[in-house]
Amino acid sequence: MASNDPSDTGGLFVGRRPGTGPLRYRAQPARAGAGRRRFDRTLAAAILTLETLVLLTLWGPQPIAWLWVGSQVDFQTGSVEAGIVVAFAGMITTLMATLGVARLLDHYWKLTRRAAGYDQKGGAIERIFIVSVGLGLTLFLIYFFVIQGPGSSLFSPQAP
Amino acid sequence: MGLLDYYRQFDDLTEEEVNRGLRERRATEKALALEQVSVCDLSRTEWPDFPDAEVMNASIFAARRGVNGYPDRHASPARAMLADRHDVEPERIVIGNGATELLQAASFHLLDSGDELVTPWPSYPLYPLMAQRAGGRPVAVDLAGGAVDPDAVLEAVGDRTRVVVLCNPNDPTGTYLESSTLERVLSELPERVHLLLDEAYAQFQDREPVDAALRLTDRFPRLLVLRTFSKAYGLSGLRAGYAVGSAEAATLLESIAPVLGINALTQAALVHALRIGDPEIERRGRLVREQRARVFRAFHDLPVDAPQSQANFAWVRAAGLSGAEVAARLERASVLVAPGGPLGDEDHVRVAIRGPAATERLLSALRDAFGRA
Repeated sequence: MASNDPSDTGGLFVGRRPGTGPLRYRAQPARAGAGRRRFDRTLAAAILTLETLVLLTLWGPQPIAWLWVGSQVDFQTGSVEAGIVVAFAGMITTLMATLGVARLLDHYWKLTRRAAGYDQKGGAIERIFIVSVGLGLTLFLIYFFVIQGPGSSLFSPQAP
Repeated sequence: MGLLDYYRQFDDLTEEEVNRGLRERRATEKALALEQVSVCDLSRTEWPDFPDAEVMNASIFAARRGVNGYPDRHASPARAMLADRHDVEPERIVIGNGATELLQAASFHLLDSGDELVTPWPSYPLYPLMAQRAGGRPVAVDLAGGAVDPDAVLEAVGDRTRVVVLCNPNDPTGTYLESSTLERVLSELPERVHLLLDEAYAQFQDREPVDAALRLTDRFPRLLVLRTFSKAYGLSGLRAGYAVGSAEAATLLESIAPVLGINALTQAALVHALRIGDPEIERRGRLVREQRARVFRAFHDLPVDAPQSQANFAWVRAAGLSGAEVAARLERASVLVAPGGPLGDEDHVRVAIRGPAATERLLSALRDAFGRA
């Protein structure tokens, strides 16, 4: 190493870590009393629960609903292609709409958390989305491989 | 306040809004800065720019490696580099906490109570104080036309004289004694008298090779040449200078060296400055010489005069005005110069010579001060 390497600060110059800057409001918020903050805490928890449920619909109810709609289109028109197109277009449309609603809920969750007295810098949508993907994928794999896939025949009494 | 309004007040600014606010603030600051005329401080003679970042990094690097132990007492790496540069043995060099500290130590060593230290005047204001602090008596020798008069210096040497101190180029006048003149002075000085030659501004002179006077230490054991890292190197805050003497001056050199050497951070900076600094020092010297020539050419058209300088400053006098009055007139144009009173002559000001922009400011302020277009 060069004897004057500027990148080796040796811990002498420690700056603020990314994402730890203070919140900047347009004006200093007028905060309500303790009772209102308790209410806001509960409200924030409710919004977060709702947001989680909304995002979870992406990994079960919505695909199933659109597959059912697609099957109905196939049945009514006799066209498999039309069923597939309607099912996928519907899924994409409601996926976008759901994400929009979730973002809005996430925004209000942040505001209510701040109103409840927390120094809430970011939202929770990314974390909920990742957890719900993991959860949805796990449930799907169990369904696909165990309930409907090779697992069902391997563990069945009729298996050779 | 409505229900939603209550929550909306907790909405934070977006990144774009924050950046827009910062841009607006910066634009306002710029506009204000353009309205102001910044102060151009030409009252000081050290190099005005911050030291090279790599040199300071070397110092910081040394600090991180631990300063719990004592530094190398002789600053051996820096001393070896200086010895190589000046083509002398390392034992002929001592590095101290600035050239002034070494001069003071030499005064303490050479002067007994009542002994005399002869120095031209005006010159570096600390020389007389050095003599007094060492219990000696300063003897001032008037300059001749702003320049050091070697004959007058020799005449001032008496029975009690033990030290002659010359600043070359002389601060604050900038005049220069060539090595041939110094050789004559050394030849005529009595055996008991040491000559301390302070070459703080040697890198700015262009009369002869920078080591011309230093070479005299090969032949004159009572000559000590002092250099500093405070001026051309711009490392005043680190306090570093060195003395070069003859092989016969080993006792004197040893006695003026700091007891435990200079600090480790300064040593690291010096080594790095000596390793990489030559092109920059050469550039600074060239810059000062160019601007000095420009300033002195401009003086012909102004009601001022100054002895020909070989340093990075000029010793300026305006007919009919005191130095304080000249300084006050220049200050109206936000150009600061050093009034001559504290430096030894009320009728002069010392004006530092720097880059082209500073020269422009100085000449413009002088024209304004004396009503010249």
